[in-house]
Amino acid sequence: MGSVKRISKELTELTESPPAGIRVELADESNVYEWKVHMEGPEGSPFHNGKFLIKLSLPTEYPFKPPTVSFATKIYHPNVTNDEKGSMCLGMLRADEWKPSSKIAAVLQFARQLLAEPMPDDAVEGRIAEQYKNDRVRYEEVAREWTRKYAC
Amino acid sequence: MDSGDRMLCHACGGVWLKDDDLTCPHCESEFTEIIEIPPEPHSEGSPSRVTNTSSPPRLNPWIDHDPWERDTQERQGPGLFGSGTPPYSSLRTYRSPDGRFSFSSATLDTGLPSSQRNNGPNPMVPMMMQSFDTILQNLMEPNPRGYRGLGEDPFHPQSSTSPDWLEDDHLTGHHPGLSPRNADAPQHININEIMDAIRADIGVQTLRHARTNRGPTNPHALSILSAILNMSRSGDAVYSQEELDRVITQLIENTGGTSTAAPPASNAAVQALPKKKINEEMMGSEGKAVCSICMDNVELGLEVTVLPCQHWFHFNCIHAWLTQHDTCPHCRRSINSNVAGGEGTCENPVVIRDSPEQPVSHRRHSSARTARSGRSSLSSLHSRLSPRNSPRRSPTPEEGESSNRHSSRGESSSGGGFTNWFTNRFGSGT
Repeated sequence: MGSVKRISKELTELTESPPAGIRVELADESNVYEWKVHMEGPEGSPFHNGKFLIKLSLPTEYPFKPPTVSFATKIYHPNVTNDEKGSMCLGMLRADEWKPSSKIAAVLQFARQLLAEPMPDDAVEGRIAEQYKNDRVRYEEVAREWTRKYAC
Repeated sequence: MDSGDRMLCHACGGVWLKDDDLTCPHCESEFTEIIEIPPEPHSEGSPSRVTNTSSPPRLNPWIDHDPWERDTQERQGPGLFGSGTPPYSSLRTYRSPDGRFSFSSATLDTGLPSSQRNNGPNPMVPMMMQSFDTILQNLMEPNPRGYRGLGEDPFHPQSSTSPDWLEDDHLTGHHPGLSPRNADAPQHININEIMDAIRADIGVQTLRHARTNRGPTNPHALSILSAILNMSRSGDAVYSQEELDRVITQLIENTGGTSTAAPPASNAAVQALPKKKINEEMMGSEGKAVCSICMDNVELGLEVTVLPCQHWFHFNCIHAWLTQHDTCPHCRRSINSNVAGGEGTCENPVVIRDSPEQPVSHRRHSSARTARSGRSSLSSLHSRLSPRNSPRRSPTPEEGESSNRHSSRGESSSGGGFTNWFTNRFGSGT
């Protein structure tokens, strides 16, 4: 399958020159479609010093279909569902927004950027988004608390 | 015993003052029941008496209560029950001394000695079913005092002979476990409605199966909703805002998502795309280029497929994408809007000048200035693109004229630029 070749290529690139705060590996060496991503919380965000484990799943139709990104580590963020799935809502990963020329590296960098700058208008957790907009201090407090509790 | 309780014989229906002998003095039957008469002042020590005296309520109302005492007494009799008698139940009620608490217990008796109880079909089963049904209906009754319905149950024959106190307030007063519904409001939920709802649910599922079997028809939004609900949870209700949001999101993704995505390109259109050998110009300044779908390096002389936006890809790669969406995987422009001539590389499409003679579709790309204000990430790309689009359909003279007017103003018009961009980007399906 053509997708395996591209995925392997991207994996090699990401392993050899990883973007800042991002380290990737295969969840299972025999399956290139499931990745484990270790992401450091970006500096200046309440997630700083936290280490987040992210599951990146690539569809067999990749790159024609977008990957899915989900947080295995609990995180207090407007764009990550606060459930056992921890799905991250990324505009570029929506079926109608996805472009095959987007690379996994770009997806992960975008995800990390989203940690620093949440998009409350695109939120999946409405209450956290409200808090982010109206009570930033409290939001950062809780986010820091969760980071300390779950991501350290 | 020393209480004023009565005895009731279930065989002959006789009632007498309770004494040590538990057999019926009239018919000798041992199938008798103790009926407590608590209000009598001389019923000292009875656990079910009501204390009408002014003594302060005790801390523990059950302090002298032994519910098993009487039960034991009843079971003491030898296993010789009246033969041929139908099964019986007995209803016992206990009250705390201060009358604040009470509970009832119903005992079913097959009327057979215990050694025979496990043999043969149990005649109690249908009666128990009936009794269960009665309990359900009583729970469903809007009247909180529906508990009294038990008294009308033929299953409790002693009720007709029960003294008045048995149906007194204490039966309907404070039953922590027996009045789960709000007693104040009328609640017309009945078991038939629930069954109807279940049947309707099954009906919906059958309908859905039938629909799937018929082939690819457009499922109704409600059935999608229903499918989602049934897929991920057992009930057909969501109980939190988050779950509701999730369902709505899924709905949007399942229906709205695909409708805003570009439709597949026709095979003819894909086959008609021009092919071209990679030349040095396409390799770019670094002398290296990749197909941005498979990310493979391309070599000079390799034949690639070029889209109207001048982005090029391996034919197999772009074919796979175009069978799903008719847009460029890189810049998302429709492959149906042609750019005449020109050459470019994947990253550096060449600038094509507008030709005033050619009518310009309303789908044409926005000007550099408006694109920049519309979406900055696309502006660098769009600023190099000044495409001349051949229309997907023949524009009316008016449209063509107005579009030409825009372009003849040297792209300085700010009106409609973003609209054009928006229409081009999101309206390609129309």
